[in-house]
Amino acid sequence: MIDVIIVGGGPAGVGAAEALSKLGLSVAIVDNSPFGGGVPIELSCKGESECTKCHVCMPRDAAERMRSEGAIDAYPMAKVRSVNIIDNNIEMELEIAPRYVRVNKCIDCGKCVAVCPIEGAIIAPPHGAMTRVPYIAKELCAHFTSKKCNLCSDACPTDAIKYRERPRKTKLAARAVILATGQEPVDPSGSLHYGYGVFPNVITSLEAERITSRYGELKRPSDGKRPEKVALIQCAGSRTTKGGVEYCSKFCCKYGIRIARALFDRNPEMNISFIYMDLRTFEPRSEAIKWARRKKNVAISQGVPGYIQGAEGGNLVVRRTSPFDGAIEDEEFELVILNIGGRPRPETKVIAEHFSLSLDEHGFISRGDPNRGIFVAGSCKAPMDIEESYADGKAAAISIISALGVK
Amino acid sequence: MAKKVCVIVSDCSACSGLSKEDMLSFKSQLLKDPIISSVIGVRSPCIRSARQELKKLSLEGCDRAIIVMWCPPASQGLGKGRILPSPVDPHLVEIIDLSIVARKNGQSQPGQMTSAVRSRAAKLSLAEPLRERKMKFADPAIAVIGSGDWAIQAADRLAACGHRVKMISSGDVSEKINRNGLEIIADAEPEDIAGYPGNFTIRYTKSGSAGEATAAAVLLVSERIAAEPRIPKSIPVRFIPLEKFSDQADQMSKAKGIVFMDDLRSIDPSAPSVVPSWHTLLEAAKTAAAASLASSVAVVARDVKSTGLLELLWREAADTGVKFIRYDDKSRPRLSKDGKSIQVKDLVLGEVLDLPADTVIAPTVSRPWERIFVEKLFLPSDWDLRARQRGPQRGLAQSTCDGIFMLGYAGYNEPFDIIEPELGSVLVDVISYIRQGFHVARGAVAHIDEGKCSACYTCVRTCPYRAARMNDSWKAEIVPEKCLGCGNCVAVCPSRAIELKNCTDEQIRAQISASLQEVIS
Ligand SMILES: Cc1cc2nc3c(=O)[nH]c(=O)nc-3n(C[C@H](O)[C@H](O)[C@H](O)COP(=O)(O)OP(=O)(O)OC[C@H]3O[C@@H](n4cnc5c(N)ncnc54)[C@H](O)[C@@H]3O)c2cc1C
Repeated sequence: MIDVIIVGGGPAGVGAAEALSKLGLSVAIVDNSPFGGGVPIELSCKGESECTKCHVCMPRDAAERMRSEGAIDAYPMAKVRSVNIIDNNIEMELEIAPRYVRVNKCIDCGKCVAVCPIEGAIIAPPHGAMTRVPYIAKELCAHFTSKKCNLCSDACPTDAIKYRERPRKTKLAARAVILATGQEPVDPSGSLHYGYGVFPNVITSLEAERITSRYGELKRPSDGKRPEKVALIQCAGSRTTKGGVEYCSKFCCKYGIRIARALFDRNPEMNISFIYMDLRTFEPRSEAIKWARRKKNVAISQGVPGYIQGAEGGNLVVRRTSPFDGAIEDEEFELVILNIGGRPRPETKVIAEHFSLSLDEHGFISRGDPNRGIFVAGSCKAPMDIEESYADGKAAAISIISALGVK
Repeated sequence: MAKKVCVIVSDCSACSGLSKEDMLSFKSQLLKDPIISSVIGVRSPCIRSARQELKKLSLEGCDRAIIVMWCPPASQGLGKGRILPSPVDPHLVEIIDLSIVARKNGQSQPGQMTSAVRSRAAKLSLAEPLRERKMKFADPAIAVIGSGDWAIQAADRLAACGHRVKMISSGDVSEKINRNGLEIIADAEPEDIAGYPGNFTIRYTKSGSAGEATAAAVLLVSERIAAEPRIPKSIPVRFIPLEKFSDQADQMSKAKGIVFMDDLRSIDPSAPSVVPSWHTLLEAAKTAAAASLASSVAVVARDVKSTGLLELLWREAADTGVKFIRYDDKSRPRLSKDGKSIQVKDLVLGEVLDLPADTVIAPTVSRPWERIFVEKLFLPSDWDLRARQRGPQRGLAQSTCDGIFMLGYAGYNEPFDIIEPELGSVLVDVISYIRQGFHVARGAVAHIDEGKCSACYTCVRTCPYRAARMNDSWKAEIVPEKCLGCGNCVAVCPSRAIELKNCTDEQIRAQISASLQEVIS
């Protein structure tokens, strides 16, 4: 029997696992994604010329450290099937989905990934993953779609590829559990007035990041052109009753400014308009505003737009009321980036039901049940950024130590 | 075997006076030296980036480096105290200041600079790394200094985890906590922390007399207590500190208009600039509006920083009738001449509003006692600032002294339950330090040349850490586990038999001049 099971391997889960194993308790991390790591595993470092403290590397480095030390048991691709709590003994049944690469045979040589002709069909573990074993995406892999390709299995020197792997079940028991199921990006298609999904050149911040890391620069989805004039709209899907979440997601002000800086550093000629509602960063003097004021082609202005219209050549017209004289202003952009917020993942609800915890009106698990050994950490509890989630994981670890006692 | 050395150069042309080409040639010259493995350029602020590079190097297994700087205050600051990140052996890192060489005769001298760096690199490559020494804790207790909510929580949790805790607080907190293993020293004012990592002595005064407490680790909890808030005299209207509002709300007489300010400085240049606790401010504004304490309740702020779920509190406040008016630094609010109203240009509506204001409520702050610790303990002087940068982008304050931990202002801009992550995170560090049971010391160790020793006992009598003793053959010897490399024995030895390994006279001289400069300034 282990001491603590952590559900969710994002920053909060990693922080908790690190603290617990440092303090001598045995830990298992259960995550339903192929590599764990939560949201940061999809984000990229935004420090082009200097560190902008986005903290994306923080949980990733910690996860690498723990994996190389063998400090924790990791269960990626695992779903919680049932939970049974008797006298402070928490028993959990897990269903582990097939990854089609056998964990005990893979030697992380990377040959299978190199040989695969389809992008994204077999994925190598990114930095900060819970495991170094690749994962085959069944929807894309030609072996499953057309039953013909066997390239990766032929290339594998240790015969680790197993196309006929089945889901398997396993049981875990522990004295306490930490729920750290985290948050997911808000889908902005609910905010109809922004036309996301209607206009191809209205993209989310996450998509912008993906495009940049894939092509090395920002391109318009409609025609692949380099945009010269870009609007970054904050609070898309947060602080709104129009198809989003009502609260403030907390990380996005800084995130938006970092994106603006990264875009600027890559292409100093680009005209960037940073449009926000309130700037909720907490430096003593607002560094961001100072940075923006120093740059001629970066405009920073308050007041989010009323709506976005399509214009010629895939361009977009952003309409808003001027904060100074109340007049209606239209401005044309080549690309609009919506900076999206976060909301609790839908799995959080299922997990809360398993542990008979109640959710608040927004879908957060606002508190656990320490008497039964259930603790909650990270952004499934309240909106948090990476650093805070990571620290909150550690805080949960301390609560567990004081409840269970240290060995 | 000689080891390779990495050179970290601060490439600031303003400080170095070098042109871009000169800097490049300087760096490429350095790289030609076989002893030098790599040359890394860092940008301003150079100290911080140099530290980051050092950390990375130590992760990559490179354990010796030279930092080249061009400004005496910065380089001496870096050499002083333990400002280097701990994974790097401080004696394998040298800081050279080339500002004098660089500006000699009014022109740059890349050649001379290169030879200066090269000769140091050659010496450093031969230096032996110091071994680690484990020093057992004399008293494995944790001292928590502070008296607010955070300090209470921290002490309570540490005691709950089975640790012995001594809580030194300026108020009486014994009513609020009571636990096994928790010793409360109430009404005590901490004066000083003496000793060394793992064995600290905290001196305090309690009702006029002095007292002492020993501990292996110290947790400083800096709190934002507005015990005696500064009330600006220049404000003609009734002024209530935000922190006092909840106590006074019941007996408050009706006002015409209440204005909550985010920062008093905006209307009163003599007031200190502070950042409010948004939770407190919104809660207070909501109460004022709900109890109809005035016919108009307004919050005048640059940005309403109601992050996370506080957003909902903002909405509730707005629904109860609180007006929110935003300004920016270009058009600050003004108190009207008769002092009855505040004029502010609303950024959203774009018009100038005249808010009735016979009562102004704004946050005030009284400086807690942390200053003495910043000075005496060589804490980073921007600690204060770092503690203030807390928020969505919080940098946890870290002390530069092992065994001393810090926790920032309580309830700074968020409610307590959201601030909790920071508390937990620091407690993890404290507990893992104390559970080790010993402190790992690295640094210079005194070494006695037996041939020169005249067995006079001077070192044995002098050593503050009792690391010197006589061995069986009646010669003095140093117990390396106890030696902290203070150099006292080196100075007093009449036969000059003692030397500090890897602690060159040059390094000592630099430290002395740095501390002298401190005394002078
Ligand atoms: C687009 C975007 C950009 C961001 N940029 C930044 C930034 O630059 N800086 C910053 O500080 N913050 C940023 N954030 C916020 C940051 O991502 C979150 O604060 C952080 O990831 C929260 O960590 P977490 O551990 O609580 O949750 P998550 O990172 O969401 O991790 C939760 C993990 O739990 C797993 N999981 C969920 N449910 C289950 C289940 N039922 N069973 C098993 N496993 C489960 C998930 O697969 C996931 O791996 C950003 C967020 C978004 C959406």
